[in-house]
Amino acid sequence: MDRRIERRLMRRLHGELPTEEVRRLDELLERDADLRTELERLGALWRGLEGPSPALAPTDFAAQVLERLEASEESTASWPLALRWAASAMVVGGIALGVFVGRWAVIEEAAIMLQQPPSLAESYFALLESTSADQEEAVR
Amino acid sequence: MEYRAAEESTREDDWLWLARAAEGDQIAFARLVERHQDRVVGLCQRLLGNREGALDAAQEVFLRLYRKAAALERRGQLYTWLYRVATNYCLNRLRRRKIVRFLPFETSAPEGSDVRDWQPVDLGPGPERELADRQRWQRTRSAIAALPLNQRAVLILARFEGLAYREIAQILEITEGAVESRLFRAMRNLQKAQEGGT
Repeated sequence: MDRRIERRLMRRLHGELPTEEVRRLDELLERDADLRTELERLGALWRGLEGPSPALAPTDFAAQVLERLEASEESTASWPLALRWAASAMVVGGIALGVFVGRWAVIEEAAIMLQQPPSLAESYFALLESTSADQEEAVR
Repeated sequence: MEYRAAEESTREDDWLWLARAAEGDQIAFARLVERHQDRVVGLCQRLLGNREGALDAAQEVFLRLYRKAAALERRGQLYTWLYRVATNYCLNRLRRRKIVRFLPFETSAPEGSDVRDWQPVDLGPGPERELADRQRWQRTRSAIAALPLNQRAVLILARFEGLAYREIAQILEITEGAVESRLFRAMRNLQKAQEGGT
């Protein structure tokens, strides 16, 4: 079935389809039994989703929100200004240190790579070349 | 017409109270909370699946409103902003929970869920009917809880909160086409879950 028509069916169930489109869809539904079955199936599923409403908010909900608001404001205000500055400075310092250490690690890695001994493959080929040169000399 | 006028005056009142709250008027702020608390708590409860978490999340949403009161752009409906913050907050919480547990979000009864909060309304006579309704609703909840988060949010906003595609698009900051697509995929997944469960 055409996806666009299926989605039109959903819109119809949700009451989202303009009147003119509802009329056109109804004409189509009259002619197409499969489409009618599909609409019935979707409709049953849509109605089956009907469930009980969640319980309402407790009567003192607004008071709880205000309490929490006051508590959060107090906890922020209870930090002395100097302490807040110190905390901010520590965060900035931490970030700067992280960047410095990160860069240093990259430089160090590059230095290690430059100083590294030849790889196993390079040693192997060097040995192979020297052995074959020795053999050639022995033959001569 | 009357409805439109009432809606318009609610909108005006909201922004007026928010302006007062921004100046430190806690009574105005409390009135705002009281006006929107049921919708926000309800939405959080549906998204998170448990009462305690929902109350905590809703409180956090209102605290954010208070802190942003002065800077908030006074445009449209305030509840759209509240829904946006509530949805994002709950989805982030669910994502974090997923990472921590490394398990899919509650596929059976959610942690800390209180069955009393989800008692079905009395639809007819007898405890058998009530039991059947509760079981059916439990299955539906499990299927909704197993949906990907973006589909779950759209489904809840559309089906349970009764919002229009346009409003959902505003809240989730996506296009109407994306709302349509996510809702359709959510319905398909629920259908599959239902077929698999029967």
